[in-house]
Amino acid sequence: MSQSSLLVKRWRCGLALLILILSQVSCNQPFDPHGPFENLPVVFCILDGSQDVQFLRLYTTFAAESDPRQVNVEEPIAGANVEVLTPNGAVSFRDTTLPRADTSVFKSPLQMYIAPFQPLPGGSYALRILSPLGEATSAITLPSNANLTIQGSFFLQNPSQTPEGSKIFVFTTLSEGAKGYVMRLFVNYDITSGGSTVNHSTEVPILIKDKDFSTALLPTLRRKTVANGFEVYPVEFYALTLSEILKRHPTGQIMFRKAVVITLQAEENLYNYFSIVNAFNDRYSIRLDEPEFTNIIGGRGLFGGFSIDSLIVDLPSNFPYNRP
Amino acid sequence: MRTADRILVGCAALFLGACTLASAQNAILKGFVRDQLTGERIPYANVVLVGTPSGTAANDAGFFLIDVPPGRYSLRVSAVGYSPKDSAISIGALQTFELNIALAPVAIQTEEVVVDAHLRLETTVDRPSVHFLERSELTAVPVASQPDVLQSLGILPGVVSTSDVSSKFYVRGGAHDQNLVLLDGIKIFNPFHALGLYSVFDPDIVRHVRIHTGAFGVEYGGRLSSVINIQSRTGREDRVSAKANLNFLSTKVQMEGPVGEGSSFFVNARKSVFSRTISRVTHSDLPLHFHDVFAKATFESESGVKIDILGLLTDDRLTPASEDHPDFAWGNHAAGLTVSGLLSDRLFTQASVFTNGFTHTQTTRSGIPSPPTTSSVSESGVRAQATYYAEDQSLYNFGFEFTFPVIEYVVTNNLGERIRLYSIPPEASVWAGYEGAFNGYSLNAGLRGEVGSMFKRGMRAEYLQPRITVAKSLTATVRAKISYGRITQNLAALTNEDDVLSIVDPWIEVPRYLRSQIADHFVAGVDWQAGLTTAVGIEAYAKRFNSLLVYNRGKVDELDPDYVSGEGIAYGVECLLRTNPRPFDFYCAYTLGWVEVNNLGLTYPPRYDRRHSVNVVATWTVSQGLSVTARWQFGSGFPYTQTNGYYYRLTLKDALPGPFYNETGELFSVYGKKNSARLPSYHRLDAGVSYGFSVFGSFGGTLDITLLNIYDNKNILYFDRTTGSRVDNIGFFPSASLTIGF
Repeated sequence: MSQSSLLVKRWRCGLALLILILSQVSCNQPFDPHGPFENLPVVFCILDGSQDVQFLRLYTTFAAESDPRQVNVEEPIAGANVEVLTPNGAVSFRDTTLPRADTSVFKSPLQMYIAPFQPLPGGSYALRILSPLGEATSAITLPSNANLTIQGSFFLQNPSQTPEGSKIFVFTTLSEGAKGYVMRLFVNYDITSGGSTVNHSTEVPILIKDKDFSTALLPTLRRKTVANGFEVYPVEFYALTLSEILKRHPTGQIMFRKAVVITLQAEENLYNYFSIVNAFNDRYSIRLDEPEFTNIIGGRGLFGGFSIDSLIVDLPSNFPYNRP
Repeated sequence: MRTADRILVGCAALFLGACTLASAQNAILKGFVRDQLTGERIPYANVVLVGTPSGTAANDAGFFLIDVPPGRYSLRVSAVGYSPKDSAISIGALQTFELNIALAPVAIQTEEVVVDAHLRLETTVDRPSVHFLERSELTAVPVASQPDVLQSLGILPGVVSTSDVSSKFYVRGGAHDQNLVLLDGIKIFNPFHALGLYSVFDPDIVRHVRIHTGAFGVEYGGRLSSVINIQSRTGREDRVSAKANLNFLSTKVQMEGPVGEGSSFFVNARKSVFSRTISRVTHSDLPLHFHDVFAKATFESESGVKIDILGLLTDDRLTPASEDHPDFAWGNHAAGLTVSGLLSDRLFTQASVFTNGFTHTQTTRSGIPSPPTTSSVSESGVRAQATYYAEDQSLYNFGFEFTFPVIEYVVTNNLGERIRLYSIPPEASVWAGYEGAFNGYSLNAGLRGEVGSMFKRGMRAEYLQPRITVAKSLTATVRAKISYGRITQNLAALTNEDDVLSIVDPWIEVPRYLRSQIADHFVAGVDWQAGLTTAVGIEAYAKRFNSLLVYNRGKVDELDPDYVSGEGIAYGVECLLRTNPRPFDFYCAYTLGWVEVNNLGLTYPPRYDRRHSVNVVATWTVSQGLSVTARWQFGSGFPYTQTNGYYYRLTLKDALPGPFYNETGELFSVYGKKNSARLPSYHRLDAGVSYGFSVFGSFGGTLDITLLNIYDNKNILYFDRTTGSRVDNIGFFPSASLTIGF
């Protein structure tokens, strides 16, 4: 046998042996994309400076071997020690149950913690939760009061007697502790039907592209860049909103009572969370990722807060849009 | 004087200096190396005066020039796939001896040819990180159903692919958009068919591929990590030839032949047949369609001036049956005219005008009607380069390129807003380089100036880019090389960096508020010719990304930019062994690599960071026309971020002020540390048999049978974070391909 033939035979045998070995050792490696389950408290608490009762949701993260969307049981943490240290001392939250508004995923009632206190503008608040999952803490400082002024309040009271193109300007002086703010204009009105009167509130858009209100743009939280903020409402949009209210309620007595302008000032954590969760609140972004934000040490979620300042313009009893 | 002016004056001075040297010429031996049958020029042929230290390599146009003292010589010319040719020549003083050398192709490479060719190409070239793949090597690598140029790159050290179903590749820790893919010098922005399963380059249109995986020369720029320089073939000059191919995925026709004296044409067209093959066999919907057409005409004068005119057109459609998935359409076009030849005895020039582009449309068919997402790049330009062959055997290279890419991206973003990004960033660069030898050292040094970047982004040091390589023979068989180069990149493909698969990647200009992307390459290597049939190469590399386009992880709102400049580093060691104990040919490559990206203080390995890569390719030439190839590849697992739990996070939409707690929220994952875990390792064995046959005369064909993943290893492609289900790469997959022609 020639040396060349020997070499061929040797390589051929080697190759066959290699395939045999590989096929035997190629046991498929098991793989689980899940890391060690992090059983953490999920906390959502937004202190509302305009309310005298504060709410806190507390539940846990969950594990799912397969599709997590199939998990439809929320795991609230009951019996936790929830406490907020306020400028006036510690306030304890107690757990309670509220009816769940959205039952598309979870059917059980909402497990909630509530505490009867009204946060003070400019006040600092520290959250501390002790539960079987450990300690979760966070701290915030609410923005101080804002000062509101309206230029064109006459137009609010007489929208049908204004020159074309008139605008209502709302100015506000923002506090140092605010990272974001939003100014909103609402119309309050009573609808009386069948002997009962119900008070309603509708927000006036800052932009209406179609008169059928299909593309009405409402103001949204934005970052404070200078000490003052302002919003502009064309009187035309205010009048369109009033007409839309009448259109949506074709029957019954409608009496417009007041126009309310509010300035909501969000502290840093609330603002950051809101923006990041809502696609950076950036109309020009081309980012497709969804990063996480939390300021809960030892958990997930948000401890945030806002203060609200408002200015009320009473509407006259002969308001032209009233339907007596 | 401004910096840009200084550069231009410097280039002019270099050119004038080179021309001055030309006046002191001695006897010159020059010419072209060609294929004896087809007349096609053979690039990188080795030209040696036997028994003397004189020798050179032909350039990529097959041209060579050697200065020699008068005398009688034995000239030996060799190239991959050709029998070497010896000629006796006699050169007189001050004579210019022109020689056109025709090499005969060989069906079976002799030991001598293989060693001579491959050692020269892979290990003895004076620049590190250079690889050559000939057409025969591209077609030998087993790939599903039909050979593919970019899929074949995966055998090279330092080249990583993240999946079987994409020919996207990552070189030495660089992202996939950092690879400059050139077809005869024209950029191809998105060179992929069928979700990336194949590239748009049929190996049959390729003469050879030259790959630079790091520290490339001054003539290349604009991409941080690699250059894939594909040189297309020219048509036969001896006779008309036609070929047809049918495989499971596509069908192809090819025709070539002479047009007149010194002129030829070449046409190649492919069309997918997924719906008639795979879909019927698997009874599954495979709504992919593609076609491509490549055409080239070549005219050559008796004086050696060559004109190439080429065009490439590709088109892809993805139309899923389900309206839940969007339709995709994308395509490339490229056209160019290149003139090459000698401007004087010693000055070889190439000049091109070209236009190229890429378009993509994505149309949603369900939900709220919205305009399609579109992206496009359209570029026209001119490129010229020249090489001056000095009397002392050194080379002076200089050139310029000006292009005007028009980039547009129109998309509806996460907030439902229509966004249009549009830019025309003029790309202009000039370069000058020197190749020579001093005291046993060879030096390849030059400077590239990104003039366009200087004008549009300001005068910054990174736009003057030195490139230098020093090589020295330590012994008769061991050669050491060290290299440095700086490169910048102003365009980037937009992808979510954590996406495993993206169908099409839109391109954007790196925002001008950021620095250009910048990389510094450092390479050191040793090559060893271990005997007549074996070569070994070891290279260490480090690539520092001084500026990288990364997501702004500190972004909160619209006042914060989407992107910021990050940093990164890639480093590793590559080993290459090539041995040819006849009738076998073994190619073994191993890479040990690390990559890290730093995004505003968060350091993580990108998802293409692979610690170990092994590629073994063995070819057994059983007889003339019959060969068997096996390829085994191994790759350690890619990084991924673990999911450590889930929760519903509130969006707070319409909840300020208001009862925020009434909202259920959106399902959100609790992630572990970014990319801190590893997927299972990847390995598979492929084999292919190629049988060439002749029916009568020149009519014949080739039957190729390929078996992919012979032992059916379950290599993970990705897992669905929402459902937790696992999707694997290609399992055992047999395929066949038949080519007939004359």
